[in-house]
Amino acid sequence: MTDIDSIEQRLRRTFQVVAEQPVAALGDPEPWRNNTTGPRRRRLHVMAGALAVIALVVVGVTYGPRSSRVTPTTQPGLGGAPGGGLRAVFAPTRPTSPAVLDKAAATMAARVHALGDTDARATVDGGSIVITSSKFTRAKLQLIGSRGSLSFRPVLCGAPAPSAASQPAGAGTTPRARALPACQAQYATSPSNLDVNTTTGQPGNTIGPDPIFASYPSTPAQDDDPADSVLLPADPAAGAQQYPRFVLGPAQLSNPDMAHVQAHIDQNIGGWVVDVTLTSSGANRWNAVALANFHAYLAIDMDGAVLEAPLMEPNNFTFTSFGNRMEISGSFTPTEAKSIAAVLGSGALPVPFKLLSLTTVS
Amino acid sequence: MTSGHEASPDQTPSSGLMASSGPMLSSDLATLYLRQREAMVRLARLLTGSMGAAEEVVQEAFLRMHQQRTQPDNPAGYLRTTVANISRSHMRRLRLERRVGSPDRVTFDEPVIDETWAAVRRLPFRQRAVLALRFYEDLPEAEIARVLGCRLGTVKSSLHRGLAKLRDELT
Repeated sequence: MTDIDSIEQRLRRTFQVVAEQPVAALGDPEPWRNNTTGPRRRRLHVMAGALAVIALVVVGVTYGPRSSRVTPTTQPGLGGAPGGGLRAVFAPTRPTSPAVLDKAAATMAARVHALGDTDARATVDGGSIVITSSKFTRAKLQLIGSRGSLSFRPVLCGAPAPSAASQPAGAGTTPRARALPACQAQYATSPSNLDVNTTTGQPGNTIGPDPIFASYPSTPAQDDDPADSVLLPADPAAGAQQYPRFVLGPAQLSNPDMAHVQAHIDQNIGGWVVDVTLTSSGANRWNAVALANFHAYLAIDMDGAVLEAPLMEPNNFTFTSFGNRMEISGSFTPTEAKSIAAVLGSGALPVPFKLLSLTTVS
Repeated sequence: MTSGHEASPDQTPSSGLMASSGPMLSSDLATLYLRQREAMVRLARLLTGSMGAAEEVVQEAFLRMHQQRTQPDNPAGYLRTTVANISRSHMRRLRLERRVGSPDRVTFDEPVIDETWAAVRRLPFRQRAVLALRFYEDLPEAEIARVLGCRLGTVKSSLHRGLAKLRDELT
């Protein structure tokens, strides 16, 4: 490594640490006005016109390395240990055959390499996967072990927070998910109920959550079956959403439909985005899903929680095809966008894993 | 590319959300705010060298955009330029008030980072800005010239001098 390389590396890491200290939470969404605070606007938006390839923008996804989800034992955002390295041990959350474990290790290795550490190794040790890296930060290592399963599901209706009666009796005794009833007609988030105003891009009617679901527990993340209807919570890391929980139809689009995932700067919106290229069958399905949910909510289910449930093309009178690309944008830092792309691009892990330990090694 | 965003009102309109001409709708500005505020605060921290001033700089940038009578063709690019301009005048004001080495000296638990950041903060504004846009935002040099409203050659020489100075001090 020459002098120039090392000073550039050092500068990059310094800028990253300094710039990416947590930014104070968003207060008033329109601080230049001094009246009301409205809800965050969220929607899928067609970027029609000159840039034909860019199809879809999800506004307001705040999706960082989700350390909160993995384990509380470490501080996110700290740099890797200088000189030494970090050793992370991930264990599957349910009994797993050696073949599946090998496949998961290969996926984690692909993520590690995509994130730029070609020396790091992911090895199977006993029933766990061990990753050692001298370059990664703790937050990045944690992200590598996240399930990384992403799917798009239509929102059938909103649901309130679960009532006390629906909570599991004790830790470790997760009840079998009860079969979900249908949403009551007046609470359905159908296009006709929502009656979207194309000028404001907002629903004309406010549809409350269906109270019947208060007595149903959320579907546990490990039972998030793509073929089933599920009741999922809004992801707390993604900020306030229109409902505390969502009743969702079967997944319409998921990881295998994504051919290529890449992070880059979008010059039009001036920020880092994650660009997803769909396979040809994925592109067809995506168009069908988007058309079927035109002027309704489509939820993005990430590892068993709703990241975002934007309205489809709320400013369009008629449905416009998305083509084979979509773009996920939020307030991503360059690091976040690259990490998301690495995780999504390498596919989902076959089973969920949890971080057993994260230690510094010399 | 020598012109800044504000100097080229008739550049090719960008596609998408905010390409319409006419006054900046406050709903468009709200969208821009939701999308870009955090990213701009991060950038302003590097440009001003101060964690505290960054929030004010970004607030002022949005205020200025709100007061614009016409909507810029590329609001996101215009916003970045505005943030850079306000950061620069913020630095000037600091110098006039002889408050260099501003009060919020922050440490990051890692001596290497602290040392590097301190050296970066001692650089002149343009050199620091070019380094931040190049090595944090990964912008191409031509885009950096546009954001800072200077010539491509200036970007190249600032990059070279900034790195040389850091190498001197840090190695």
